[in-house]
Formats: sequence, C-alpha cells, structure tokens
Amino acid sequence: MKRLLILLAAACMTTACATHKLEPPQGFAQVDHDDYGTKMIAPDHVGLNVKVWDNVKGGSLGFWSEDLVNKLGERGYALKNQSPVKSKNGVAGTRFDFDYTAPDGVEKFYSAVLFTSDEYRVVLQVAGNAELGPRYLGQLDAIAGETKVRGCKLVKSLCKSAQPRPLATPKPEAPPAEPAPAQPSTEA
Amino acid sequence: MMTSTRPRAWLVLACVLVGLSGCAKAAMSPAMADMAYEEDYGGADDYSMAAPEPPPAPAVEAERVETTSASRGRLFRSRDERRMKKAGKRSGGATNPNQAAPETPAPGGAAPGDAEPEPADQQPPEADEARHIIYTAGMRIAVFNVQDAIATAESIPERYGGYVQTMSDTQVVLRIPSKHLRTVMGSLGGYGNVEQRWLRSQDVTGEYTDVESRLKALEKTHAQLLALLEKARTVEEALKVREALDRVAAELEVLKGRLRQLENMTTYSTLTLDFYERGPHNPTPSSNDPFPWVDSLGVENTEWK
Repeated sequence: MKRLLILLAAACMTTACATHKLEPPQGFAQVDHDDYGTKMIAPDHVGLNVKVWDNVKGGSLGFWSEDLVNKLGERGYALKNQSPVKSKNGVAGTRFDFDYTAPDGVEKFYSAVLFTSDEYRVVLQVAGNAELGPRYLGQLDAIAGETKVRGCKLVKSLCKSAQPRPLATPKPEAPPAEPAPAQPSTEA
Repeated sequence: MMTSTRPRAWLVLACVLVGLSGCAKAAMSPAMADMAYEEDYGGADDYSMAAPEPPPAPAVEAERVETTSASRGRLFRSRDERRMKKAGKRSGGATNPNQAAPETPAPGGAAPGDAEPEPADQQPPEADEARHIIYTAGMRIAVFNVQDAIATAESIPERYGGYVQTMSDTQVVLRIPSKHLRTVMGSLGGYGNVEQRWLRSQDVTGEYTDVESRLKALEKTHAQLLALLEKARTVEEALKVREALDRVAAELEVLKGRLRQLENMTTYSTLTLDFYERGPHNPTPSSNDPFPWVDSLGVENTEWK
C-alpha cells in the first residue's frame, strides 16, 4: 500500500507537472523552453513554438477554436484550412492554416494547432515567409503528433472534446462610404 | 489496533474535504448585504433628492449633498428608515410624519414646526411649488466606449426635454427639467460604472419672494409716477417725474430679469456627466475581453528575424 502511494506521488510529480513536451523536429533547434512555452528556430528563420495557458471550466476545443479564429481574423489572418489532429498522447486538437500579409506587404504563412486539456490549452504554431510554407506545412501534422499535451483528467475530460464546427474568418466590416466628390461649380 | 483506526482516519479526512468544498456558497451574510448596498452605485432605485429644509429667512442658503461613499447616507434613505416605514404601514397606524404632509405645501414655504414636505423619492422636487430650489448634479461614469456614451448623453434632452449646455470629448453638461432629473440620473446608472454621483440644492425661495415683492412695489410706484407725470404743470416738474420714472423702469427691468433667471434656474437642473474609459488601471479590462490570449499568437510572435 505504502509503495503504491509513493509510486503514485512520484508519477504525479514527474508527469503532471510538465505541461507539454516536444522534441525539436528535424531542421529545428530549441532556443527556449519552460512550462508555458517552447521556442524553436529553423536556419531560414521559420519559427516553431508552443504556447501554454491554463484552461478554464468550459474551455472546450470548440470554444477556444472559435475565439482563436475570430480574434486572429480581426488582425487580418484569413483562415484557409481547418483539420483535426491528435497529440502523441491522444489529446484532440485542431489545425488551422492561415494566409497573412504583414504590414510591410510581405506574404507569410502561419499555422496554429490548438489542443485543449482539462488543465491547459496549448497552441503549436509555425510561421515564416509564404514561399517557405509548402516545405514546413507538410510536416506540421507529424510535429503535432509528436507533441505531448498534459493535464487530462480521467472522467469527463476536455481532452476528448469534439472537433469544432467548420469555422471561417469573419468578414471585415465594410469601410464607411466615401463622400461623393464635390461637383465643380458651373457658375461664372 | 492500527488497522481499526486507519479507516476511521480516512473517514475523518473525507469529511473534512467534503466540508471544505461545501463552504463555497454564494450566500451573502447580512454584513455583506449591507456592504453591497453601500457600494451600489449603478442602480439608483433608492436614489432620492434631498428633501429641502425650510429656508432660514431672509438669507438664501445653499445645501450641499454629495453621494460619495462617505456622505451618501444624507442622500440615500437609510435601510432603517425604510424598515420603519414598512413597519408603520403594516401596523396601519402611526405613519411617518413625512407621509402625513399635505399635498399642498404650506404657503410661502413651510413654517417651522409644520409638517415637512413629502420625501423626494415619492414626489419630484419641483412639485413643492412654494419653494424655488436650484438643483445641480453630476455623475462620473466609467464606460467601455466614451464616444457612444457621449452620444447617448447627448440624446437625453430629446426624451426628457431640456438642452445640451456644453459638450466636450469626455464631458456633457445638460440642462434637464428638474422634474426629470432623478429619472435621468437613475437611467444613466445603467450605462456604466457610476464612480461618483453628487447633487447640490440651493434654496432661492427667499430671494425669489424678495424680488417678487420688490417688483410689485416698484410697479405701484411706476403707476403713481405715471399719474404724476400726467398732472405735471411745468416742463421742469415733468422732467423731474420723468427722471424718477426712468430710474424705476430701469430697476423694474433688472428685477424682472432676475426673476426670469431664477425661474429658469429652478425649472431646469444642471447635470454634469463625466465619462472616462475603463482601462488597465481599472479592474475591468478595457477591451472587455476576458481572454486576451490570442494577442500573443501570430506571425510576429513565432517567426524569427
């Protein structure tokens, strides 16, 4: 009995405290890591990182997906693809691919994979210049499948959340109509 | 021995855990309820104008009533008073002397010892026709969108009458019919967090009465002078009377002007509304977004340059 308790405590200490785990995929080097994030870089400046936030009650995959797509949409990120993924330890996630043009006019690729567990919401994201997209986006599903997401409970777990409904970037509000140009006066 | 005590220890531990988790209830203790009442700025259900005191003749006295948390008790009727009123109603007997006040107020202002006018939350201030009171009020409201709030405030006169006196980016000064002042202030409570609310009343009944009586006296003098002018036999006499007549006429105009001014000031109340945006310095987020997590996502936070 005592051994079992010690074993449980040790397991709890070693596994539950790590929020996520991702070994650097081929072509990436890890530059930073803590419980709430991991940063990696490729030689061509493509970035791959993991960000972690504490989850809240009711924070399902559908809820956070909608929040993410809407808020990124407000910043000019146009969703072009959405697909289900699974983490290495079986946590349900959704991949979102976006088109984005930076304020300086350079076209970028950007993809985010969202996982939700009972304790955390984890986003794996990759970004770089648009011409490099095909090279990296092809391996994103595999990278997501190598990511471990912690914080799952045994019963009624958010880790098995259903996939979000098909989402779309909200259409931007129509700019106010410009006033009609003043007609030149015909009077002498 | 040890084996028999272990299950008991587990049971005790379980009970403690259940007890701890069961403690989180939303029930509000009476003390908390009182605190919530005191801190309730947004409602204005219990908002009431200060019942004006009889004016100490002949000087015009200014009353100042502020609704900051320190002195709000003067403006808001206390819970005890309401309880007493309810108790009085239930017994059906002795009522609040305020309620016994006749609908028609004592002429020329309530004499000392007379029943006081009805409480202001049952009767609008201007209903006390014998009195002439200038109400000046103000509210400081925290809102998410200052521009929308300003637009809303600007539209208030369309519904209740009155007009916009001055307006700036964050402030609107309205002139509202006094009878609607309380309603307007109550409705504004719903537009945001009312951080401060204040009201001043200035009883000008004495001055009003004084001006009125001087006006009557001068009108009589004016009429007498006109009669004298008709009876004047020489040019010199006529000029002297005319001179006096001009002085009286000028004074009459001044008094009439003051009377009109007093009437305007008592008919319309000045309501100053200060709006400010809820920001990081406030407990409420400025964007009304409880989850600003996406702000740290995107290309800028991922790509390396």
